[in-house]
Amino acid sequence: MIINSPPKFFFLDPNRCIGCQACVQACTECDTHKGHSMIHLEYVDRGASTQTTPVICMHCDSPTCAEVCPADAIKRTEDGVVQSARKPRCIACSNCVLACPFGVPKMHSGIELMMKCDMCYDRTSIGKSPMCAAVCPSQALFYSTAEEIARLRPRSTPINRFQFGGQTVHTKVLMMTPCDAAPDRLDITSALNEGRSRVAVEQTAPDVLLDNLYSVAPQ
Amino acid sequence: MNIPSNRSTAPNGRPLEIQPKWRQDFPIDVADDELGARREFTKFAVLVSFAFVVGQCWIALKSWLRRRKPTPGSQRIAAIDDVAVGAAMLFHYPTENDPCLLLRAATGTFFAYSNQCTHLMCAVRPEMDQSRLHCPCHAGYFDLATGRPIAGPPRRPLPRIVLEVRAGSLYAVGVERRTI
Amino acid sequence: MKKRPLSRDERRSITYGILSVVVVIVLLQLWLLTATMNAYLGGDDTVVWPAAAASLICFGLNGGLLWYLYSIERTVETSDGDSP
Repeated sequence: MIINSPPKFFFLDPNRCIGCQACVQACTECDTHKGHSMIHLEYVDRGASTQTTPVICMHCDSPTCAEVCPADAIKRTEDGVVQSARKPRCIACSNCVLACPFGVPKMHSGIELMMKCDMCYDRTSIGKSPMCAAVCPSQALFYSTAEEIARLRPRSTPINRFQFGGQTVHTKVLMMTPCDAAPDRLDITSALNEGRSRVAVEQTAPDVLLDNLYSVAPQ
Repeated sequence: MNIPSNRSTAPNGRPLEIQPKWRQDFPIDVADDELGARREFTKFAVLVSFAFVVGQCWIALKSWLRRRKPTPGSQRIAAIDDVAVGAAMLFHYPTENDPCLLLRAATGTFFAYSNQCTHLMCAVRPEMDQSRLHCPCHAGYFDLATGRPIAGPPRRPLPRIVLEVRAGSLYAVGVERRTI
Repeated sequence: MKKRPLSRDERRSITYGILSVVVVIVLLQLWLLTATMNAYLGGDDTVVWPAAAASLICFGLNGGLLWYLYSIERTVETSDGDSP
């Protein structure tokens, strides 16, 4: 058992991604994915660079995919891992696919089931690293303890706060960012609006309270 | 290194206990979701329980109706000489809808059973040479002398037709249903 | 005396406990139904009414347990109304 071992985290370091697609192949090998790959590589700015970044589920603390699911099919386990849609419940409406700010859920229309990265739940739930992290040659995908990442990558700091317009998202998976920038969140939308390839780092974005969603009645 | 966790049950970050009813009933976390799922299953189990009570009452009612029916009278089946030793004959008793078999095992030995297998009411076929009755639907076998099941799915003996010999003729005088 | 509202975890444990008891009773009723059906088809009419009564008692127990399950949910809802 792994009760006494320190908790392990999933770290994502887009800087290190070399676009080898090893993670994409390894992902299909995971037993919980039934031969489908749940990870893909995204080009950061295809016109200007070959730099890629792996896209895995960030396992949000308030998962948008589950929030928008009309069939109550997407559930999060006790350790905070958001699972694929439950087969008897999923109605293949693709709401989650459209709603996820990170673009993670995939609709398999052939089997009418949404499947998404579940951090290789059969492996991580017993302390093993996910398939993608196990094969990543540059360790852009890295699964270990907080102490180890601090020791191995002293110039980076993990961050798990993302800003998508008015939506602040906290995630279980951590994104490595340069220490000298020391951002408190990654503002994705303003980075897109800048029209540049780099992810803008904002320290002064206003905290958005989603309480408004509940207090404002629709007219 | 401090890794923050802001795990919440809803976008507004408040605990589940003070969330709207719909979110309490359909929470995102598996552990919280179990409460509603198990409660609904309990409800369904109680409904099944009610269905069983209805079934019991239906059996009791059928039993009451059966007891109200008059006992079947005697009916002539055949003359003794009509059936050869080792032969079988089909007759209907007590009504036209109850097929029965008359079997002559030896010169003075007659058996009569309902022709409907006690498993799923298929017609049973006599196999006199092996002194048994065979139901071909699911390979059920009954003992010729007693009508009790010896193999296959049937659990109850075939209902026995009580026979009487009067003046060289065989009469059916009653149906004897048995549980063992 | 006002009852302390039960936490979600407590209610889940209670629901599991009640569900186990209900399932056992339902299985008992299933056995009772098959046994009664066998007796009825075998021509034994003496057991049918006692068996029906026993099944009804089982259903009464189940109904009582379900009522308790709903009553603890009501306790929680009432306490919600009181809280600011």
